[in-house]
Amino acid sequence: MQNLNLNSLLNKVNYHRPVIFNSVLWSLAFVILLFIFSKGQYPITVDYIYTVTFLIVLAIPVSINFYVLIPRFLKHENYLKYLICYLINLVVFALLSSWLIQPLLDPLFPSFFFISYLSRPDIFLVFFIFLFVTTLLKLAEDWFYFNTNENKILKLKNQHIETQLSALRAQINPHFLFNSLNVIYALALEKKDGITVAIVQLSDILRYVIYDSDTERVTLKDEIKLLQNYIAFQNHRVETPNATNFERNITDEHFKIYPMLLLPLLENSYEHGIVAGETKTPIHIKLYQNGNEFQFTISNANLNTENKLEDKYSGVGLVNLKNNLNLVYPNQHHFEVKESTDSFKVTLNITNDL
Amino acid sequence: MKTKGLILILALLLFSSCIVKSLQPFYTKDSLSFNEKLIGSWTDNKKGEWTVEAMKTKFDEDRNKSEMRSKEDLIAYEAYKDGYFITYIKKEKEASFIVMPFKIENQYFLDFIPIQIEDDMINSLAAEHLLKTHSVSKLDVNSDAELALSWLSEEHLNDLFNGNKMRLKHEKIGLEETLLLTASSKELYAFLTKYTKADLFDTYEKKEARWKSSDKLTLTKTNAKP
Repeated sequence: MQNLNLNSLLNKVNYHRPVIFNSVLWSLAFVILLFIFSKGQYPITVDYIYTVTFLIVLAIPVSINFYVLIPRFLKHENYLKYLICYLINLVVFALLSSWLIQPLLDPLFPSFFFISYLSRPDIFLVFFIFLFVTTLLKLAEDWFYFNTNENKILKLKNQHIETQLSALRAQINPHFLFNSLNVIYALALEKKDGITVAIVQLSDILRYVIYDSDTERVTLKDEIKLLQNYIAFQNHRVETPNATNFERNITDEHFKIYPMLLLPLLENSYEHGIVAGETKTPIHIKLYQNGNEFQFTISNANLNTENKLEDKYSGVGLVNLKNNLNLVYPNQHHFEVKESTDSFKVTLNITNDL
Repeated sequence: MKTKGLILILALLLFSSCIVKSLQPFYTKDSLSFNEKLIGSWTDNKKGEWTVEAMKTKFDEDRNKSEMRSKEDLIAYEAYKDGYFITYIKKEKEASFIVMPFKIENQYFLDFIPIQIEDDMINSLAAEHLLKTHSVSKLDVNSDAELALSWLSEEHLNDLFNGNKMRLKHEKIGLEETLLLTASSKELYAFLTKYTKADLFDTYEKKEARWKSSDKLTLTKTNAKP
């Protein structure tokens, strides 16, 4: 399975649009200030000059707040430091503005009279309001893009999970098909009578595997039917009487479960726990379900054939099963393998939140 | 201080409508600058007679007469103690002004506000409608015996307003759209400061439109201090 590195992809995604944000912000500020400076009257040339100058001066502390104080202190939860620096930023630039704006404007525009504008307390008030409001706007903008980012990350993750699941299913199906064809082949070689029944059973199994299992969840009833079909199908091959011992203790047959979780375990037991015509120890299957709890236990004789989980072919099924469990039941399952010299046991617990 | 109830904007009558009027004084408290040289009697070039007294002297006279007791009188004393009490007579009509001298850079200005007039000719109801306003005049002390007063020109201010070159609180009132400044004293003082600094007085003759040259009064001292 290809290891998809989602984080590296997501790190490249940056949804901030500083040009758009600042354009909107300062356009809005320009309109508001122009309205204030023109005293609600039609703005005149001198108002435009004063507004632009005031905005340029105002942009300095606001930018310091945006690009130094907020990322350095507020986002790192250093609230006290942020508050102190915020106030220093406010006081210093409000003072500088009250001292410098008029002396700057008069020589630059000697024929203009910038008189009825802001007094010193007014400048402090406007600076305070603008710094406060722009801080809120910046935080709102950050939240907006954070939220957008989160949603896109979730969508990407879902896409990756879907891709992975499809890949896993695509690996299960051919694997199962090869095993099954081997069984039919063995029956055909020996010209057994049961070959026609076996073909029908395989047909039922394949229908389920290919079509019915291609949904997010199936009922436990359908999965049990699949297991039963598979056991009957395999019994043509192993020719062992009572090859399986299937116990069920189920309160709800319509309990929903991710499809094709149990079959690889049963396959594995037949592959490595039964030798046709020789094995006396049957495969024990226990299926328990009550409420949200589901448990599947399967054990078979350890015939010391090829190592089960690392087997080149059948091992694919078990590894895929583990991958599937991690994807569809994260933190909601327990998968345990116990192997001794004479037995091999797998226990799968699932807690269904759905 | 004793004041009469009826007040008329005498300036309106005397100097036509071209003097710039303001609701607020043109000076700030810390810009006040009393000049002893103005005290005395003067005659202007348009046959007007001016009597200039220090407000402080007037207050002291009232205090001696025990006429100044109320809280309002004390407030008035604090506000006007650095000013002049000017009596202006022209064609036998008399009016009084409180005039506050103040300085911008080295230039003297006088803020005028009328306080009492001869009230025989005015209807009392009409008098209730009148509102006293401030005017400002540039004061040039040519010598100990000669002064020149030039009032702020409405025409030039209108040019600034119409040219969109000035933001100063004002209203245009009445059908004649008379200019009335409504800015605060601080703003008016700031305006005068820039107006003064605009290379105004050195080239006064060339830029006389900035001040009402047609109403420029030259005052000549007529006698010693009253």
